[in-house]
Amino acid sequence: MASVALRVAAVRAAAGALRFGTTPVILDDQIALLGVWQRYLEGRLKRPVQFVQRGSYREILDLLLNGNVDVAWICGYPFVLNEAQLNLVAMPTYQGAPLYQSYLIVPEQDTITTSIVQLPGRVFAFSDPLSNSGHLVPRFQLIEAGKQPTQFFRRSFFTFAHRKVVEAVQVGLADGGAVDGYVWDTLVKQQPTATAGVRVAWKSARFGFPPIVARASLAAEESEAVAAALLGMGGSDAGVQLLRSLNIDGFQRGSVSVFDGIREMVRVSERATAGGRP
Amino acid sequence: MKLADVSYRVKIPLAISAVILLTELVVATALVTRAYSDARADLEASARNLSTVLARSLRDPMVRDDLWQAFEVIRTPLVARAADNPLQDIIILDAQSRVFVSSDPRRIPVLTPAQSLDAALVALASNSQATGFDLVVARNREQGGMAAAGPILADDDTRLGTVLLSFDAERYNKRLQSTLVQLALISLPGLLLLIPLGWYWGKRMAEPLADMAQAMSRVGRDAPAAILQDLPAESRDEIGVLAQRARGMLDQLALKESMEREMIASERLAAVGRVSAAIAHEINNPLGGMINGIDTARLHGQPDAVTRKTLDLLERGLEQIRTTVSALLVEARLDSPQLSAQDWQDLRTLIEPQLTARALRLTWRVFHSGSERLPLPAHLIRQLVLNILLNAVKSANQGGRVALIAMRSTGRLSIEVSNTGAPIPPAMLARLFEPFVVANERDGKRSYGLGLWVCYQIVRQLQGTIIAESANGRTRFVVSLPIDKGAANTPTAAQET
Repeated sequence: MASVALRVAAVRAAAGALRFGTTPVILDDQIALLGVWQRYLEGRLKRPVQFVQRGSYREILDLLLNGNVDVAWICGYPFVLNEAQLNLVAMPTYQGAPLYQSYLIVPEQDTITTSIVQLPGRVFAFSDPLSNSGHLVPRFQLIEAGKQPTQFFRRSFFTFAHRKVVEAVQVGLADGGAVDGYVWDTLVKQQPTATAGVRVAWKSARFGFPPIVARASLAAEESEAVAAALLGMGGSDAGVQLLRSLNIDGFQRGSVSVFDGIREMVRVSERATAGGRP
Repeated sequence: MKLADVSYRVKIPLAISAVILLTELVVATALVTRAYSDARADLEASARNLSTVLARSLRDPMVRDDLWQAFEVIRTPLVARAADNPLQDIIILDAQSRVFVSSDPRRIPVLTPAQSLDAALVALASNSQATGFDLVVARNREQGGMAAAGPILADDDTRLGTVLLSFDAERYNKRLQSTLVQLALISLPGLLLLIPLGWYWGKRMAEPLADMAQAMSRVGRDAPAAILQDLPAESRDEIGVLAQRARGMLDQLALKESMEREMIASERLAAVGRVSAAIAHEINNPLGGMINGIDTARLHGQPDAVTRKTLDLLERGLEQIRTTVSALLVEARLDSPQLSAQDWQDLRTLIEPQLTARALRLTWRVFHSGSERLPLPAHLIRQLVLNILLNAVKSANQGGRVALIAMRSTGRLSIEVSNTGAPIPPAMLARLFEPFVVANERDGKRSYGLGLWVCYQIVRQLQGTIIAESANGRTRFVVSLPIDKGAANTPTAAQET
């Protein structure tokens, strides 16, 4: 399996290689795309680049926090939770802004639902426990509506990837799910069959787009080099081609204040419940 | 129509065809049974295998309560299955006998109680405390066909849940049906070949029997000789034996019929003999008187010239009557000398002129030589043989052949006289020895007069036999006489009178 090959590659990373973690905040199962991007970055950085993938946000975050990964594309939620140990490298811009939404998706047969609070006693699919759009947002919605997130559904589960949330709803395993709006839109655009039979029932407010972050211990010039390479993607044909494949406009430096919305939800959510379990 | 009335021409082919069909049926039944048990064993083996693999793969997701991974695990076998694989659903029950996850979550949603599943699955689920693999096959389709169950156990054998597999009976049956269709396609050409072959063989076997029956049904209606030709060819099987026996019986029948004909002929001849002897005596008595009267009138009367002439005329007429009548009555002269070699010589000398006149060649083979004498009356044998010889010479074609062969075997003298030439017509042959027989032929009438009648009377008197045959351009008279002094001298009934 491709992910296994990549994981082995990370362990055997050549000396001096930049280790770049990815999570399903993007469609990181597109191995060929990552290969092209790897070669692009290697050309810009003049050093080897290794993409590192893991089964959950938590694993990539741990690798980042203990220094086994240099930079990573993670969700705004874990960034907010671990802001002290991470530095913002670049913000992707999507539809003109470094923002995205969380979508509530339901089967097409369900024509009634317009809000998560209409799904009590149903089966619900979250993406990752550390996903803003796939976990924090729906939790927050329930708390806002005065519901107890751990009791509201008959059964809920994590698929650890947005596209698998779509699949869970598509096959009928879940009556609803929460996904990254950018991932959904990209699927609709690039792999329409993956979203067949599923509709978007509700869209959240806009939140900070999943950022590219570096471990705090990474040398500033290395971090700066990565930022420059990413920001410069719009300046070359290969870079533009890659951005089109990633379905984003480009990268910008960005500000941590863009994650204020997430910070607010974290605050409310932590006050409402002691633990982080759904 | 009863089966017993049906011809073997039909019965044997039918029996062979029936045996072929029966064999095919038995073989097909065995193969079908085998196919069924194979399919069942296949299903059980694959179900057991799948159940074991799933139970191991699901251990971690179950422990971690990872619904999505469990779903991905059970989805794989269904995505990867072949089109004819009857596997329908995979359902995982948790330790509380609720659906943890199913391969078709729309139909069987998570947390569904096991009791609301298909009957076959419920039966297995209720038995879910069993620790081994279990396969049930429902009798009818409504009950959900077939299902299998296997436990999901943690490392310490704690029961985490149950794997339930359900199978689509329709697809399972369709798979079987395609096997059956294949079977039929394989056996059909065999049948199409074997049945006509069996029918042909059967017919060939029955043919001689039918011919036999046909031939035997003609007995009594047609001549035995004609029936003989239509009997089956010779063989050593049962029908051959039967035909052999039939041939023997037909031969005997032909012999019997010819003996009957001979008997009728000889009885008629005997009757004719008695009548003619009686008439001859009745004529002879007044005849003697009349001839005596004429003598007396000639000697003691004074007849004038006219009367004398009349008396002479009467006497010649009466003498002619006497000759004719005495020819009818063959008289044995008891004082006849015994047959000697000279007698044969005389016979040959007597016919020589006639042979020369008609340019006939003679074959003469006589055993008799030297001074030996046979105890047979010489004048009767001479009369007999001369008559037949003259007859042969007369009947022979110009430049043809006449033969006489006389042989002596134990106690019998056999004389065979033959000639070439036009045959005696069959109708004539039957009445040949009757007096004054007249045969109508293409070139006019052919009269046999008294010659052969006399021959017959002589042979009878000597207690022998005479037969005449005429076939293939050759006519043969065969006389066989017993050589017995007593027999030769026994006077006939005609003479005693």
